Amino acid sequence: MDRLMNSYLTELLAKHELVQSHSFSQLPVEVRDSVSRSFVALRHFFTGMSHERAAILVRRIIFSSMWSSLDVRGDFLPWFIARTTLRSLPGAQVIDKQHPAIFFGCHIEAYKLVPAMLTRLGYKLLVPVSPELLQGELGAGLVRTNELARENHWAGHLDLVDAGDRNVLGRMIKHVRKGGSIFVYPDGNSGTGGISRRDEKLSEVDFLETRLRVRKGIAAIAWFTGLGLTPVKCERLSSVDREIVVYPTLATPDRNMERDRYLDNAMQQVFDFLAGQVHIDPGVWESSLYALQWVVPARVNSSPPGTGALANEAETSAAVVQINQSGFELARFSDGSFLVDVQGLRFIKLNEFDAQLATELFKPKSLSSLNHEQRASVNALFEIGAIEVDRFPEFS
Amino acid sequence: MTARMIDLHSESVCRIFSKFLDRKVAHQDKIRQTDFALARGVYEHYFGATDAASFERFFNLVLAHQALSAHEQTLELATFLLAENLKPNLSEQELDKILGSPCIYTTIHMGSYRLINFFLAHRGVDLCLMVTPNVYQKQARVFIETYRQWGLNGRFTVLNSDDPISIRKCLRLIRDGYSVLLYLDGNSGVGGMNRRDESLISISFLHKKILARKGAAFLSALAKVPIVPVITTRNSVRRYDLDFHDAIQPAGRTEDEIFAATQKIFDIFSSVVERYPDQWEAWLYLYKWVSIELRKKDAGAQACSPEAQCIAQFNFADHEILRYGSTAALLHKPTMTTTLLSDQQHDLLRQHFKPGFIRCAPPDSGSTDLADMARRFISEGVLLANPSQLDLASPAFLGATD
Repeated sequence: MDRLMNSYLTELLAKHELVQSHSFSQLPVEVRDSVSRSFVALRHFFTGMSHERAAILVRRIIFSSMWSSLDVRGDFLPWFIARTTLRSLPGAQVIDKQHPAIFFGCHIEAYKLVPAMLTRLGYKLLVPVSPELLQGELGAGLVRTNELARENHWAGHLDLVDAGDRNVLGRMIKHVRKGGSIFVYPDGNSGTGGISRRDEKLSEVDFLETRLRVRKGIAAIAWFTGLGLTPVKCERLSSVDREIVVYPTLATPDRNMERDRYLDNAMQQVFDFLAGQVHIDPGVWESSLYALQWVVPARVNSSPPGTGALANEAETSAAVVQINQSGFELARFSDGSFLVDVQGLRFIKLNEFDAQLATELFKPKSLSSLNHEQRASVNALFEIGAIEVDRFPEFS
Repeated sequence: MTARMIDLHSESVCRIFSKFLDRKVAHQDKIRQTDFALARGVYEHYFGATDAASFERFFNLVLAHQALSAHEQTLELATFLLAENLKPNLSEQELDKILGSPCIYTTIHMGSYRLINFFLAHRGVDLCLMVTPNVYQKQARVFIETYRQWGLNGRFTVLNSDDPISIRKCLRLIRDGYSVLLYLDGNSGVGGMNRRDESLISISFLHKKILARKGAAFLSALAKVPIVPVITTRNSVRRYDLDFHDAIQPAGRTEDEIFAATQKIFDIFSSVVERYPDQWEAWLYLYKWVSIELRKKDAGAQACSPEAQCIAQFNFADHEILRYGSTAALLHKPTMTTTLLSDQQHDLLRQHFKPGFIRCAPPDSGSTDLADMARRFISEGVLLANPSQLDLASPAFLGATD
């Protein structure tokens, strides 16, 4: 067992070193896109968050994500299942495999262990996942869980269903009605229509300091089965100790309530729970890598545009200009560089020349030191509110 | 002249801030790294925990404002700033009324603080500047010579705050029509800035406590002249604010009255520092003020019983390593206390700036080797043995570029 722990800790250290010692620009393109989205998302969700703070959180999020994958790797999973303890918070439902339940978890801390642990506790679990995810560590962990269940004669069992299947909701409702339980990640990036889905069937919820458009399938299952939604989280107590925490059940259906109102209300409660968890430590919330796509685009408090043609006025030639860093993030995606208004979520695509200039303008520059072409670009950025004039660099 | 000076000033601002914002603490010398560690400890005491990367930006901004203040004291630039940039919050009549009679101006090292002397001198105020013995020895003559170069008619003198009869000299000067200018944030007062005695009082500051000298309130009570807090802040490159706050009228000399007057002064300072923390130079030496208050608190070390083999990392959240020449010391930030480190201890802790495996001796094993040292560091919370707390932004990695 010491050898296993040694091997686990060695791999964990290697992942830590990997995340820590590489600058974001060295990351593979597909990872860099997620990282850039995460920067914008964190600064959008947490008004006033600085670029420096977001940079640290993004590193921690990537590390946390790698760490949760390591826990469910085939060789380590049985060891963790044996070591993980269970704790029910006051008011939480008693863990009783005889009664069906609708569990949900968030992509926080050791979240990938939750389905395996619920199976170990004896639940006949149905988990919706996208076929692509099954190719990864989570999928391998889920398959391995079933092998372990068979080998060790657990009462529980884990079935997977394609989250993108049109009939997924019906299958899950049927499963619960037959006495089975389900487990869903409402902040996941799969589900009917994919992550980029935009339609009227989505529910709008308040989340931190913004609004999200989210799927409400889990609330529909609760409505049709009469069960509430039970939050479950897997916390890291130490390098190798985990604890499953069961929270009090939310949103038990109220038949006096209109269905659509219930669904919206239930999803709000789910995302209130998530917001509470993310607020404790955004650095362990993996979904920030893609959550930007759920944000309701319309926002009113974006940076006000500058007025007038700044660069053309002779009297302003000595003006000190710099990027409005509290309002804008320079994000590099595979399809180019963008200056992003983090509150209004406006993405302004920059050509190479402007991207280079914007990078330089993260430190103050005198207008008189810029050439004609650069001044024209500064003028354009000024008009969209991305340039501050004569302000000292600030600390937020 | 004005256009050229605007250009010159703008370029200075850009040059100074660009230079400091590019700095990486990890690449600085040991003294600067120690300043960084101490300033971060004090900052976190007042404003709560911050990560090293974010504090690095803050620290660099403080240094940039400090460098700009030094740069702005040249006669040419100071004259320009006085004419074009500095905007008092009072009308001419209100200024005439305040400046027309002796008083005690109290200020802090905030914004372009050197312009306060210049402003008062230009308005014809006879001024007595009280400074530390160190500043008195090195700069008193320079101050007086600079004042002479300004070619102003008012009188100007510098007093050594360590002079046992400085208060008596002050009183005499006030009776002779002088006003006194005191920088209350840490580098003046009889006994110097490391002084710890009965004339310091613990008052509220930034929702916590600070040790303040009560000399200003005492002098006000003795001389029966009001205290006028005055602070400069850099609102923008083109506009510096010079705020005269409501005069605090002289009160009695009882402990309560002295305390109340001192608290009023520091309430004003507190609100300005809260708004412009990066413009306050005193972060660089404030640890000398707050240490006694902090030492009274429980250290609250994170007790932990490590396994024989575990991952450990230096606990940057609560500790820093300070270097004084060849000597190393461990700073415990919540209490601002330091402990000397042996070379062996220092090496062990530095090795764990990055997380790594560590071997720990069982408790009471009688071992005196590294494994025993490791166990003690973990049980005292100097090393963290829980990877959930691994620091991905430790000072050891501030050199990484994002």
